[in-house]
Amino acid sequence: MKLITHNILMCNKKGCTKNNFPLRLVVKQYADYEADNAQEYSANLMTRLLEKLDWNALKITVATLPDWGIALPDAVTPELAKDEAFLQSLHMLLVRRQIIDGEMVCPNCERSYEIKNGIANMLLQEDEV
Amino acid sequence: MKKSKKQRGEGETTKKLSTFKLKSFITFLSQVAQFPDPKIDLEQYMTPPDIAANLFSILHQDEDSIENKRIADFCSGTGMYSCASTYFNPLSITGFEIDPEAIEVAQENVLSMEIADRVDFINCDILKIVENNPKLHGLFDTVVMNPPFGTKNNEGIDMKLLSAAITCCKGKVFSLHKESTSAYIQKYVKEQHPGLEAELMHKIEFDLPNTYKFHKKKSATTEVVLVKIDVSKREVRKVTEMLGAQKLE
Ligand SMILES: [Zn+2]
Repeated sequence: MKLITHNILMCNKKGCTKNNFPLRLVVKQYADYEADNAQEYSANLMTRLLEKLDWNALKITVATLPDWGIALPDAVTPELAKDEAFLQSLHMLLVRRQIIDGEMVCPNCERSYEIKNGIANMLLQEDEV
Repeated sequence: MKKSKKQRGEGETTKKLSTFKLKSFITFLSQVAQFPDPKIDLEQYMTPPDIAANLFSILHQDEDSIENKRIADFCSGTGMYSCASTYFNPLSITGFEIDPEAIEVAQENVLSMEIADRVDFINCDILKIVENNPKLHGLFDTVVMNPPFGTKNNEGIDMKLLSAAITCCKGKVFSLHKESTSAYIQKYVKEQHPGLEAELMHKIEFDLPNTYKFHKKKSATTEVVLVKIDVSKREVRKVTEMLGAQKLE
């Protein structure tokens, strides 16, 4: 599972409608694709990905993963959006990095959604819908 | 059609697949493993590789709905449509599937086909997640879907899923349905989603081969139709409505 997918998921437990995004990401295992084996880098690809991204949610999430050693700027300025080195580092983060095992925890109700074998499990129990 | 003519006139930009490329596409999709043990209540069956290859060639070359697009695959099953989408360089693909066993097969498929970097699968009840997660609304350029036909214990599920697909889409929805339900689908979309219409694109003879063990005959043929809903028309309508309102003021 990639961060762009985490970026669109919120707690969907019945009644949990506020402060339920972004889910707190706990990473137990991740893997980085080699550049040759992953979707090819292009500035256009990154620009299009950025268009759809909730930057603030991504920034908050990455800040909670200090061992990744990545600090994102507060906003993507037009200059940054053209900066090759910046876009390459985003390609690493958004395209090549896969979360294999971990969980996503709702900041509001503490419901945990498991990530196993790269698959996000957003299924709810009968009493949660 | 007009569009492809124009493209051909300009020379280089035609996207039409050569026979050779279509054959390799089918071979590529033949690697997608099926449901090992199809669940009758979920009406699981897989689109055969040759049909999927033809469908996605159309979505790519005639509809321009794959390349550079953010794609959702609803009821992704073992991943046939997600895998097919990877062939034409989309921006991203997200598969949504309720059955954990199917999604595990799907994940194994994309891993062994070396396209796991392109596809993320989410195990969820699509109707619930779409209802409760406004982030998904209008997010995807293209939604492809092979829903259960809603004939056994799931009556109406295909229509509910179609509405969910429309909700999450800002471009085009492509969905496979039983041909016998096509008039109903057109009426449903018109009523439930004013301004939109369901366009019937292609009729396909579908073999449902031995998918369910209780089928007495070795294979049963079903007429299936590819339905297209151009959701971007809804936006245009909203804008024209707004302009109309301003004129009145
Ligand atoms: Zn919650």
